[in-house]
Amino acid sequence: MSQKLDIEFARVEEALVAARLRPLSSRKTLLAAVLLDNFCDQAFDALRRSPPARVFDAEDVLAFRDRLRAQEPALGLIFDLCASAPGGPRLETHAVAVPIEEYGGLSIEDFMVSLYNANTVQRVVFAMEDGSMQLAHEVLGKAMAYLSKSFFQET
Amino acid sequence: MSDWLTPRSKGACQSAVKEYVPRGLLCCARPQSLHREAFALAGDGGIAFGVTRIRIGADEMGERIKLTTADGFSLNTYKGVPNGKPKGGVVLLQEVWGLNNWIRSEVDRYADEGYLCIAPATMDRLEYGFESENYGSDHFAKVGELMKSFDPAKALLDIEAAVKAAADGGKVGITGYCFGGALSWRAAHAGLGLSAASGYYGGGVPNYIDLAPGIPIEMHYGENDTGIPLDQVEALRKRYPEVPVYLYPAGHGFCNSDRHVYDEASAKKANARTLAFFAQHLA
Repeated sequence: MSQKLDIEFARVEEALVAARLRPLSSRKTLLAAVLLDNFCDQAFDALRRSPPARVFDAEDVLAFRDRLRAQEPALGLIFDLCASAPGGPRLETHAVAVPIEEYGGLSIEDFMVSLYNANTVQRVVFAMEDGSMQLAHEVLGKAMAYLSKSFFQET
Repeated sequence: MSDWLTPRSKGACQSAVKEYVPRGLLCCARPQSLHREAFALAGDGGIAFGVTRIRIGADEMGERIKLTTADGFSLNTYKGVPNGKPKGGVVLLQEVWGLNNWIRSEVDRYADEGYLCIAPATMDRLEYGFESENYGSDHFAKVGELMKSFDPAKALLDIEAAVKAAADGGKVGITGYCFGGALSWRAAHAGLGLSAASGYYGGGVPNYIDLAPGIPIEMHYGENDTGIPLDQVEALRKRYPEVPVYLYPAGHGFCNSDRHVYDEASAKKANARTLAFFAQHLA
């Protein structure tokens, strides 16, 4: 993998770490998402002259993105978020219910705040138009894991 | 440790340390501002410097009293009385650990600052007499179950009773931390005979942002609070531009000196602001 791509991926990792340190910051989450999105373009640029299999036989960057989206839905969410796609996800902060049996795993901050807010904690989510939500850090984590495995691990 | 005292002045602190430390007895200085004095004096006596607060036994500065609320509930409270004429009254609202050591020490601190201070046990209706020094996750589930029946309307009755008691000191301000911070905002909306409010890191901002305060209020939050989104604090600032909303480079619970999250510089700055705010509005 090219040195340039290594550097780009390191930037994404750094942004993700920063977002996880401030888990309720939708701005930091968005930055990590944007850098992930950008990395995919960078990856295609770096690999387009490689054997076609390296870019999933995609002829252009849009086709490449489609291939990535098909293989990892979390990337699709990130692409749609960054494109502000109509009907696409938005990053929002929502109160998420926590079952009592999961209380022992909460941070003390989440625990304290949840007690007087109907056993809910604040979470940044990908909010869909149909009302469904996915935890933003889980989406980012899945996307990172996929990219790491696909482009940086020896097969 | 077999005995301890609570001297309230530097002179009394020096005397106590000189008398008791050589006898192998621990000595605690109140208010907290005298701790360093006590520890410095006691150094030769071998007192453990790792402890920032020692409160053992019944020799606290305040007293535990019961108040009766408007609906007839007998409410535990902790009351601190200043030396001399009070500058005013302060109602101090607990976190989610009851009237524990740190909350009682905060009441004592306000009393030292000249305020008649009352801390109502706002979890009494959930478990009478609940107090805990256990900040660990091993009992999160128990407290979580307890708080399921928390009713903000009943809490306001408890606060109202405390305000009436604190009014013996003059105009009354309210302050509180976390749970107490959010309740401070709610109390400021309800009025309850209060003259000012200063709330600390009250979580669940969306649940109180629509409750416009009817009295002067200021709020304090940590920039690094992982329980309260900064976006929500920003929304509060924009919604009420006349309300000072202060941010500190600290996490949730930064005023609690009994916990590792304590940020001394931020706590001192915030506490000074609250005292100045109360001095302005309770005079």
